Amino acid sequence: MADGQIVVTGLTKQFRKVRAVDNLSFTVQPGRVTGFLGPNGAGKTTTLRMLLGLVTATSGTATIGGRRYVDLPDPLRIVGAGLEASSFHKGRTGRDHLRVLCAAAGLPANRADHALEMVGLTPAAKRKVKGYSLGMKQRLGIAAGMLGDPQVLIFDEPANGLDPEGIRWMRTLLSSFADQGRTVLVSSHLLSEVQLFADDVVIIAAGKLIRQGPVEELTNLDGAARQIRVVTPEPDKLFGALELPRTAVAKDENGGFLVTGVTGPQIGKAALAAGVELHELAPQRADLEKVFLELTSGKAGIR
Amino acid sequence: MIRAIRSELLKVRTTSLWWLILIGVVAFTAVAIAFNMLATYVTIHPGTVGPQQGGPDSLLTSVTGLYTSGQYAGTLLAMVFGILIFTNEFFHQTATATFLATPKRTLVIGAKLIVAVIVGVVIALITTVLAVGSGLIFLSTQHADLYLGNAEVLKSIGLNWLAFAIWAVFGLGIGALLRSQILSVILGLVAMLIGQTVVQVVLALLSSYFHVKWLMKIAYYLPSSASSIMTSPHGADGFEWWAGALILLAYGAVAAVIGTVITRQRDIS
Repeated sequence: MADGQIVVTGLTKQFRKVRAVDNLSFTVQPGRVTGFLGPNGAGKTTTLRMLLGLVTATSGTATIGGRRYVDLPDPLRIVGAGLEASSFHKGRTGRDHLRVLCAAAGLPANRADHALEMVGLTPAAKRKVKGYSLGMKQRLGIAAGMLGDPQVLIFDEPANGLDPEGIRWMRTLLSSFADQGRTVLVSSHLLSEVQLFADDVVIIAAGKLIRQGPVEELTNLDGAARQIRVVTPEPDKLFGALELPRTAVAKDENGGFLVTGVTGPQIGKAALAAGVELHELAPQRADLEKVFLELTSGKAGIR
Repeated sequence: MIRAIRSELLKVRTTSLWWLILIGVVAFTAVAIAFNMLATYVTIHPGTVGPQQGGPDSLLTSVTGLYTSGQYAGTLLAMVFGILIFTNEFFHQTATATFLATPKRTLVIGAKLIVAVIVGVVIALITTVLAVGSGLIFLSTQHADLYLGNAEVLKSIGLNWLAFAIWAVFGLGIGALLRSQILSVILGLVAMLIGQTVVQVVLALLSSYFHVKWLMKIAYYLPSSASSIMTSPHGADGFEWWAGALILLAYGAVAAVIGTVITRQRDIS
């Protein structure tokens, strides 16, 4: 297992009438947490399942460390994946679920206990899964992914059902994996979530790649999305002096104004020249949410 | 392959299914033993109930029946177990985890096949211990011949075991083919319990109406007839026991092969 890079090339999946994934290409680097982002129904899960050999691609390839998943000799030792919170036998204990997987992967049974300890499920190890909360099932899914101490980790919506404390735990866990040089690919439909833990993002909508890159690059993306918050007692005078179109100014809920299309220094200079009092002048970091909505608007609908 | 088999055995052992089936097997076998003891008692003491029968041949038949008590319900339960071994993966959506750990799906089905045989043999072992054990005690109390050295009796007991294993494999085949747990179980049981009788009645009517005898023989190619031919040491109506075994095995093999081909290509989601 040399690098653990994930390479997706021209991946396409055609279900009867729906093209769930459409000529999708992206790469995921080791040592970083990559958020795999898209609205519900964008094709995230289908893509991950193709990557893991569970769904057959109509065309294109997806490789992990240069090999297809089905060709990996000891897959659980190379790739750990957690796909669905519901995919456990309800009448089996969490520990037994992991032991079944250990047996199939040729791992010693005590790996199951290690993994349970890692996700903090040891007290519930001998309880049946039907008594688990959604958050506990998510933890069990993550434990299943960590059984073989793999270089590559792939999780589908792992933060679903986690409480704030659980999400913080997840964030720490994922970044610790990345710090150890592992490849971490995590899907989500919630941007706020991805913004919290991802270094890179791959954004898809309607099965197509919208954008790939580091999170900062995306949030600093284009000037149009950049907003500056202005608080002033004389807004009409200031915006008149700036000769801004009406659409460039929006009132926010706290009595301030969000201005687009001009820079901070431009506003400050105009205010000084017009003799307008300024109480606040703050460039807003465009959040991923906004960028995302802009990027995916019109492509996200139900197919 | 060893890993996959270990994993499948652990799956069987770590849910409550096995002891539910065990209770079923023991209960049905107990009922069958009681019934067969009664039948044997009547044979040993002719004249107590109904018309005169008797004779060493009918005693042999009764004892054989006694020693293989529980076969009818037991084979059905073995079939149900076979169905569940496969369909549980989809019912509980554990197929994802299973195929992630063992991406070569044929290996998984192969391991399940072997586990189905093991389960069939275990059920056979249980029914045999119960039936032969209690049968020996019963026959001793009646001062009747135990027939333990009798080749026919031993052959019947052996074929009984074969029946359990083949039915478990047959169930696995149905499960792999249909994949839906409820559908498989219902279809399997209906086909075995009711469908069989309906088909036989229809065939009998047709054959008497058209005066063609071979129509009746079609019934022997149905799974449960094949099973009863297989477990009769002399076969039935010109069919040898091994022909019945082959017919039943063919059903299981065809269902399993088609199920494997489908499973290999299917998207797991």
